[in-house]
Amino acid sequence: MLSVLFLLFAQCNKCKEVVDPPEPEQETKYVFNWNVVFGNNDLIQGQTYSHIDGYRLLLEDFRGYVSNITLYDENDSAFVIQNIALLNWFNDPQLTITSAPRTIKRIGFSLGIPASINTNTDPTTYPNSSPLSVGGAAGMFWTWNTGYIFYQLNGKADLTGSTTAPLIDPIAYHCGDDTLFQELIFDVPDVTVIKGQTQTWNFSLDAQKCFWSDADTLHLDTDYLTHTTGNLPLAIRAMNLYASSFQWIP
Amino acid sequence: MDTVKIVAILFSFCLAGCQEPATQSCHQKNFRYRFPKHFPKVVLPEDNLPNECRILLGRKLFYDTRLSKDQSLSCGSCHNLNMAFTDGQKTSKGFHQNATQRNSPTLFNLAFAPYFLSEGGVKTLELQALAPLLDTVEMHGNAKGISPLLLNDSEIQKLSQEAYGRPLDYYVITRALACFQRSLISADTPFDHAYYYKDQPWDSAVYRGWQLFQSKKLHCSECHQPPLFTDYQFYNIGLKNNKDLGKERESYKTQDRGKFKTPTLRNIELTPPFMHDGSIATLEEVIEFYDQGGHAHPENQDPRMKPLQLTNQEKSDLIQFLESLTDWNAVQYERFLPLEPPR
Repeated sequence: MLSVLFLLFAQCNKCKEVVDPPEPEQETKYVFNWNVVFGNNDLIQGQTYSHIDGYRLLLEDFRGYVSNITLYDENDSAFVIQNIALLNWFNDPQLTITSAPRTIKRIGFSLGIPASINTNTDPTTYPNSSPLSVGGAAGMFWTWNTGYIFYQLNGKADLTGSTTAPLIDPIAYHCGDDTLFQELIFDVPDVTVIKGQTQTWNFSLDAQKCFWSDADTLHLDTDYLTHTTGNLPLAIRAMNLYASSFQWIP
Repeated sequence: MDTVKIVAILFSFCLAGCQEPATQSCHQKNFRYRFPKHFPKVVLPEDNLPNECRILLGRKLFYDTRLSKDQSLSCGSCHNLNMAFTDGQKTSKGFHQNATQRNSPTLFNLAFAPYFLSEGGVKTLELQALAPLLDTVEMHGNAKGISPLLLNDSEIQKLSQEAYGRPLDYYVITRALACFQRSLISADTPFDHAYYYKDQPWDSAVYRGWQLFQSKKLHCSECHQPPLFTDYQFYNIGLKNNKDLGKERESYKTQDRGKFKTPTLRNIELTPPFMHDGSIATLEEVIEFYDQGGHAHPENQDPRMKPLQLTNQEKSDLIQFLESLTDWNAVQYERFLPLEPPR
């Protein structure tokens, strides 16, 4: 009996072929890199900056969803290479995405969550690793309503004009609604990315422009709080300023 | 006895010794809620059909303070059974005794509600649980992770596996809480027995109050529609403006300012103070409020809010009727109480 088993085992072992481990796949990577500043200064969490109205300003939380990260080829066909990411802008975030090689003439991403996901979504149904899950979103959704906070900027200001008074006046722009979803597209020099290549694009995000630009200014004595609902006009203004603060860096 | 039998017996003893201490048992077989026949039909969510394990887990979690940031609050802290799952406070006290904005609502008969919270922005009972759990003013739970105290509770984890086939997470918590809350049914009142079950006689004052309640003079039943005594719609009844936007918060429409969802009147006797802000202390004062036509909210007041010129007899009859909506049995059901002393 034992000899039969031994023979069977030996026969099985014969079937095994020694296979070399596969060559590592040469992956094509696309890197989106954001450099976040406040005017001419680096943006640092907890640091004080000056508002154009003369108020001192401290930023505590600055996060946003980007979605539909898209490459456009020479035929203007769009290839979405990543659906959703939640970025903490204080960290100069970077997204590295593996996708197929192609020739690219434009790139784009959206600010917020597409309506197809944002409507009637349930954060508890996403795995913890998802930026849409309860843990992954980390407070970037409204629990008393349906939907995600697309962009959140929290901080404090001193509206007394003093240079020494404590910064105690809260600032909160919590913007999120299907109507606030914004798509940004950047024309970049045509580039043909080959297999195994890593292509990087750099962007700047100027937090100063989230408060004022040539088009609009959020005056902190009046324009300091929106949870979108209750102050939709301010949410629209804040979201527009936020969208205008992104630039592609050649 | 041969050797094999002895080994088998010894092995079974070993296995028994390795088992965890006895825990509450439950059945995973389908369970049917006992919804009253005169209540509307309920469509249960496909991903959260009830069974005993789910309800048991929900009941345990409902009274578990480990869901709050400092382990001081559970759902049951603001929803006490003996007050028809309210707390008797004007507005509830949340984390570190912070005042919440609104009066604690009853949880009875939530299975029939089409949406949740006073502005109706939450579409399912499952998702509703996230509001108090994560709100920094309420339980201040951690969105990034559930307390290790709860995650390391082997009994809770065992129940989570039995109920939902997965470890405890926010999916399980929200579903289990909803399963338990759907079991909180109340329909055993003198009114139900007189009007629906027809197995008890009407009290004459209650009957007069019921007739008045439905009358064109008062319009009460237009919004507080039986059998649930709510139409789940939103109205501005002329409460003083306290900066709570109400339905406008969800709809963005200024014409919705100060509108709040019609609350049920079932068990109202047990749920003072009244209104979304707890601004009216007693049922008598509520009747006075309506008799005066509200407090004249500056915007959007419902046109039906007009002085009623009720007699004292009519006011008394209305209160008798409202008190006939109290379910004294439901507020004593053991199956709604904590299984063990609150943590």
